[in-house]
Amino acid sequence: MRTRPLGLALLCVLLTAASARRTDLHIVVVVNVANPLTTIPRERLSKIFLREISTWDNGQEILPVDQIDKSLARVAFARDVQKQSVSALRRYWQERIFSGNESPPPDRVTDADVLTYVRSNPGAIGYVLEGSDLGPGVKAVVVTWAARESNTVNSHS
Amino acid sequence: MGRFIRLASRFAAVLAALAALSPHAQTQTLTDRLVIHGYLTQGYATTNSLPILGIPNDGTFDYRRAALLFRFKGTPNDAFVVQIANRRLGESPVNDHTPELQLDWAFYERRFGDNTFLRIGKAPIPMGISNETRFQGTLLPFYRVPFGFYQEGGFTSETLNGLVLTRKLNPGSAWLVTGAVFAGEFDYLQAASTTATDSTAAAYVIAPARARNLLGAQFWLQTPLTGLRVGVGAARRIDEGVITKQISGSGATKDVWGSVDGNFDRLVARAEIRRISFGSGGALFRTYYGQLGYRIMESLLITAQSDATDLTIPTPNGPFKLPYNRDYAIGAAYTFAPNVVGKLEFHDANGYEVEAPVNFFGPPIESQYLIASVSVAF
Repeated sequence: MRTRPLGLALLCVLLTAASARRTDLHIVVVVNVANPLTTIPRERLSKIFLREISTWDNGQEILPVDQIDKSLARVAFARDVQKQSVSALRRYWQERIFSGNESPPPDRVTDADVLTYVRSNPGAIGYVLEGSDLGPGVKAVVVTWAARESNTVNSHS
Repeated sequence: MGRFIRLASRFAAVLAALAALSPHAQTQTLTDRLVIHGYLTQGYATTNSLPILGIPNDGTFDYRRAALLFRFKGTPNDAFVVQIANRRLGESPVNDHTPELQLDWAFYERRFGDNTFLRIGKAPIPMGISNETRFQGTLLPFYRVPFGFYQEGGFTSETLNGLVLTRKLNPGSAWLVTGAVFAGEFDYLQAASTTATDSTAAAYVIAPARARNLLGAQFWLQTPLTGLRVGVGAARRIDEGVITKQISGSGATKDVWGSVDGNFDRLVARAEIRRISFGSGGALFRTYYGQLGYRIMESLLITAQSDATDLTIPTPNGPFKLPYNRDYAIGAAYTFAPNVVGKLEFHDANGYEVEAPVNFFGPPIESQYLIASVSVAF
């Protein structure tokens, strides 16, 4: 078996690239104005986006909307709310999907797309970068934190 | 050598093209209710020994697992899941018993609140770390899950016909326990070597069998250390149509396993152990493996694996203990894009796990094999 040269050649091809990270970004969690929600614990918010909680207290279906993996808001949300990296979450969802379980929330490319989705769906919940113009039909909710956690999600109230 | 260089060049070109073309892994939403996912792993494999795991001496590209998964969500609490698959195992005689396209899964899932799920139909068996995702290449460090523990082609099933009930027993706890019970039946293939007689040559034969009255359970303990979980499981079944009945005897087959699964930022560490006792005949199957992987960078995972299987076969002179198979592997998995992974792995095996007539009382057979593969999922 003459495998060593082939292995070395492929390893040389494979050794490339690194990823950049930003840690100074903050997000705002948003829901439809018809939703009576004003605050939400971080852990519950995380479970909603992991599809572990599927309905609001009134029985209405929760419609979480994510942002694409490359978006800065997604990176900040994963880090601050879900306490995982985007790549770890990607692996989590691949395992969930391909064992026949629930799919991840739909994702949108921009903050404006997320706001449009939340505006159009009374059961929706999403997040956008801090400073985004929320516009009509959408409101921010305050994320509450357990005492042991540090708050890195900014919320408009 | 030139053949391998040409092969590596083509392989790299295909990966580069896939990485350029493929979008991020996203849900392909046709409506709000129907999602479609799929995966493909295409491999090339070659060995320097007798055929093993469908791999011939002159290599094969007929090494593939692909599936399309449809999930229709009727309500927040009801879903219907169908998966169709194509799997090729090189030149293994198992292929003669496997349709080109098969209905892999077909089950209804009912959610009771946020912590209880019931599946009815043809559903994946919750067994070990990887049985439910055993063919999804972008999730695996090697082409296949560890062979001793999970098997492939014969003596295994990804699914059962029956029901699977899953429940989080203490939701909200840092020590979350999730339990699954399952019941039903499944068909599987078995393989055996026949000995030569005056009129027939020794042969490697494949034959169907059925596991009935299957009843099992598995529990996972999620530890407060993110990424670390521990699992145990057990199952009992009655096997019908067994061609090695003279050594397995009658009565139930009992299957017990344990798992440790650590998936951290850069380190992946897994170990599983399994023991199957066949009927009353005293035949035992024991297997265990360890897997240690390290992400040298976010995209490149290097993994080493040691996989061992032992058999105890009853004979008139008492139990005959056989070191059935040892497989040591090293592999590199490179993530070209979130949904495109290329892998190269080398295995050094010795034992009797070849697809040819073997004499268990003779010396073990040495095999080295190499698998290059690319996996795509969407």
